[in-house]
Amino acid sequence: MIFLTLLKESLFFAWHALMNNKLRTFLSLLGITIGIFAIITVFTIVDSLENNIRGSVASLGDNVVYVQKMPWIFDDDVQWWKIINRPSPVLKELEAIKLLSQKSAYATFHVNVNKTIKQGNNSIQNATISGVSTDYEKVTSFEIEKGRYFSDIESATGKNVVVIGDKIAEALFQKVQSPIGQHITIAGRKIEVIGVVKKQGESIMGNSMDSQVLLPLNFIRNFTDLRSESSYPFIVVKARPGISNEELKDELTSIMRAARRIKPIGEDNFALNEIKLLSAAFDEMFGVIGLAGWIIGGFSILVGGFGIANIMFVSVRERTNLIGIQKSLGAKNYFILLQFLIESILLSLLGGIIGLLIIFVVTLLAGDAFGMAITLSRSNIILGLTISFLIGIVSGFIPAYGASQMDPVDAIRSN
Amino acid sequence: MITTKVKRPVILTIICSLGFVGAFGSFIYVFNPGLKKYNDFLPAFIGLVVALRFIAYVGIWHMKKWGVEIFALTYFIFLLLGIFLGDVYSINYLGLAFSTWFIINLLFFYKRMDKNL
Repeated sequence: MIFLTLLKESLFFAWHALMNNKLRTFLSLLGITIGIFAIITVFTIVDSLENNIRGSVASLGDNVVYVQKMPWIFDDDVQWWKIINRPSPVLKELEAIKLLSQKSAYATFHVNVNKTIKQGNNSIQNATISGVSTDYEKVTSFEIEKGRYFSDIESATGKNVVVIGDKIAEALFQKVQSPIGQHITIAGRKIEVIGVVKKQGESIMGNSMDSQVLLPLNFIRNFTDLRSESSYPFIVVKARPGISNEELKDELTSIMRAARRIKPIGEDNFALNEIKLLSAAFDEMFGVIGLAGWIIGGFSILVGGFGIANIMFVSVRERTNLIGIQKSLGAKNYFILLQFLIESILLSLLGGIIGLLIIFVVTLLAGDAFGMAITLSRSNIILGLTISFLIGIVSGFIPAYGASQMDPVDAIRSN
Repeated sequence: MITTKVKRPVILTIICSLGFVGAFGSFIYVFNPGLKKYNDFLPAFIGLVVALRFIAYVGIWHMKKWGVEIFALTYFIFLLLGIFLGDVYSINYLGLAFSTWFIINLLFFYKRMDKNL
C-alpha cells in the first residue's frame, strides 16, 4: 500500500515536471516519436504487403500445379533460347491429363486475350478476357455474388455467356441496373451476363477477380487462336485430397512427356509451376526488407533513447536542490529513483503513442490512396508501446539512479 | 541506511563496459520480425529482459549486490528462452560463454558488494 502511494506520488512529481517544461518535453519526446514512427511504419508496410501478396497467392490455391511454357523462377544458368522455343500447352494435353491422371481432382485450360468490352454507352478498352474450360471455378478460389457460374452444357457448347468481376460490373453497369441477364459486346459478339464475382479488392500481383471477365473456352475460340502464344495458354491442375504437389508433379511430368513424345534422354520442354515457388521467393524478399527495417529502426530508436537520457541528466541537475530537500525530509532512495524513472518512461511512452497515432492516420490515408488495406496491426502497436516503455527505462535508469544516490547535504548546497 | 562506497575492480569495469555495448546490441534484436511472428508479446518480454540486463550492469558498475542478482536472473531467462524457443531465439553461445565467465568473476566479488540500493 505504501509502495502504491509512493508510486502515485512519483507519478505526480514526474507529470508535474514534464508539464512545467512543455517545450523541452515536446522536443525530447520527438526523438522517440520519429524512431517509433520509422520502425513501426516499416513493419506496418511490410506486414500489409506481405498479407496482400500472401492473400493473392493463397487465392491461386496451394495444391494446384500450373503447366506452362515458362518457369516462374529461373535458375542462374538458365538457357533462354531453349525456353523461348518451347511449345505452349494445348487442349490435347489437357485431355491427356484428364484421361490419364489418377492424382488430379480437376484440370482446366486457360487463355487470356485483351479486347474492348462495350455495354450501351459504356466501354472498357483493352480489358483482359479469360477463356476457361469447365471446372475452372473448382481449381480457383472465388465466390459468385450474383447469378451463377457456367453450366457444363454452356461450357461444352460454347454458349455466349459471361461471368464478370465486381469492378467490371461497376464500370459497365454503374450500379444503376443489375448486370444479370444484360448483354455486353466483346469482339462484336453479344454475350449475356450470367454471374458477378464477389468483390476481392486490389491485389499487388494483379490477379484479383474484380477485373476478370470469364468466357467459356469453346466460345472464346471463335475469335481467339488457342494455340497462339499471345493468348498465354496454360493448364491448371488441382491435386486430389491427400495427394502432395510433388506426387502430382511426378505424374504430370510423365503424362506431358508422353503427350509431347519426348525421348527418355530428352529434357522437359514445359514447366510445372506451383505457388510454393512464389511463396519461397516472397519469404526471401520480405526477410530482407524486414531486416533492413529492423536495423534502421533499431538505430533510430537508440538515438531517440540517447535524447531522453540527455534530457533526464539535465532534469536531475536542475532539480538537485529539490532532491536534497526531499531526501532530508526522509524520502527513500527508491522514491527518488522511481520519480525520475517514471518521468523518463512517461516521456518515452508519450513519444511512442504520438508516433503510433501518426502511423494510424498515415495508414488510413495511404489505404485510401493505394486502394490496398494497410493496417496498423495489434502486434505492431504492442511492439511500439513496449519499445517506448523499455527505452524509457533504459535511458532514464542511469540519471535516476545517480539522483537516488545523491548525498542530501551536497544536493541541498548545489545551485 | 548506510551506503558504502566500494572500489570497483578493473576486471568488472572492463566486463561492464563490454556488457553495456552488448545490451545495446541485444536491444536491436527485439525488433527481429521472427520474434513478432512467434508471439505478439515475445518481443516485449525479451525487451524487458534486455532492459533488466542493462539495469544489472548499472548495479554491478556501482558494486551493488542487486546488480549481480538481476544479472543471474536474466542469465537463466536467456538460457530458458534459448532452450524452449530454439527455432526463433537461438542460444548465442559466445554471449552465454561471456555471461558464464562474468558470473564466475562476480562470485569472487559478491561478498565485497553493497546490499543497499
